[in-house]
Amino acid sequence: MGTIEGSGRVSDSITLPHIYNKQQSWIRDTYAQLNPGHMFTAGCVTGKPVGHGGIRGRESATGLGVSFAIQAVLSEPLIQQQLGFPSGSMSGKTFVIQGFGNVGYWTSKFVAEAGGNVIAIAERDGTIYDETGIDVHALKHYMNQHGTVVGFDNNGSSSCQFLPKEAGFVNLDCDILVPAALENVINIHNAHDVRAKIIAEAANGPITADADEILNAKGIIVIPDLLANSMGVSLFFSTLIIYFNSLTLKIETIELTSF
Amino acid sequence: MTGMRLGRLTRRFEESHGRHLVEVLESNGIAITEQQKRNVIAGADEETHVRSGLEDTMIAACAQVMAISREKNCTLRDAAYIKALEDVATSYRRGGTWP
Repeated sequence: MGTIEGSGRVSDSITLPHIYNKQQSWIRDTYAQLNPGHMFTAGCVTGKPVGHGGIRGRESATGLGVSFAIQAVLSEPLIQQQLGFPSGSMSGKTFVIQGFGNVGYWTSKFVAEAGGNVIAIAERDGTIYDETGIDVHALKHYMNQHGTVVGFDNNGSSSCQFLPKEAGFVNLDCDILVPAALENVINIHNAHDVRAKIIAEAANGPITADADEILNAKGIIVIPDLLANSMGVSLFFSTLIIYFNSLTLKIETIELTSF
Repeated sequence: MTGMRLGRLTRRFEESHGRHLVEVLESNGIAITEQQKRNVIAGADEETHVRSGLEDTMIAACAQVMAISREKNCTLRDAAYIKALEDVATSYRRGGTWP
C-alpha cells in the first residue's frame, strides 16, 4: 500500500488500493461522514470504482505502462545496437509473460495489440507455449471459466504446448521476458538460465540483487519495476490532481512501500 | 467544473470537428472507409485522455532514465533511482523542508 503525505493543510494520508476497490469507496464514504462540509472527500482515497469518482482506465493502467516502457526502451538506437535488434518495432519480437492476473493480462493484451508475439504465458500450474502466438483474449476467457491454464488449446493450434510448472519459464528463449506475478522469481538459482534480451519488471521486485548482478554481467537489459510498473501509481496520482487542482497542495514526500 | 471527468468539455466538439472534416473530404470526392471515419470522428473520452497523458509521462520518464544511464554509465535500475532521488531532492530544495 502506498501513501502520499500532504502538507499540514490536508493532514490525511491518501491510501492506494492493493486489490479491492470497493473498500476504497467505504473509506471515502466514512471520511465524508466524519468530515461534513469537506468539499473534496473524493480526493482522500484513490482506486475508487468508476461510479464513485474513480478514474476510467485504472485497471489497465499498469499493464499499459509496461507496454509503453518496453516500446520506449526498444525505440532507443543504442539499445537496439547493443542487443542486436534490427529495429525497435514490436512486431516480430517474442514475449514471455509470467502471471496472468491484472498486470499480466493487460500487458499481454497491449503488447499483442502493438504487434508483439506473445509466445508463452506462465501461470501457477504451468505454462502455455505457442511460437505462433497465444490468443490472449481466449486464454483469459478460459481462465475465468476454469480457474487454470491447464487444458487450454489456443484455438486448436497445432504448435500449442503445455509446459509443466516444474519446467519453469525463466529459461524460455524470447526477446522480452515479463515477470508480472511475484517477487524473487529470478534469483541466484536461475539467473544464468535467462535467455531473454530484455526483462521488464511488471511485478514488484521479481529479480533478486544477486540475480541482478548476474544479468548485468550477461548484458541483459532490465527495465526496473520503479519505472516499468509505475503507470498504475501515476494514474492514482492523477486522480488526486483532478480533485486538487484548484487548491495549492504542497506534496512534500512521496513514499511508496509495498505490503 | 473541477469534479468533471476529463474530456467532458471537449469530446463532442472534437467529434463534430471530425465529422466536418469527413464531410469536406467526401464532398471533394475523396473516399473514406468506415473505419477511417470512426477514427477521425472519435472524440477523446476520459479513458483516451488518461491513456494519452500517461503515455506521454511514461515515454518522457523512460527517455530521462535512459539518458542518465548513458551519462553515468550505469544500469537502468540505478538510473531510475538516481532520477527519483534527484526529483525528491529538487522538490525539497524548492519547497523547503518545513515543518
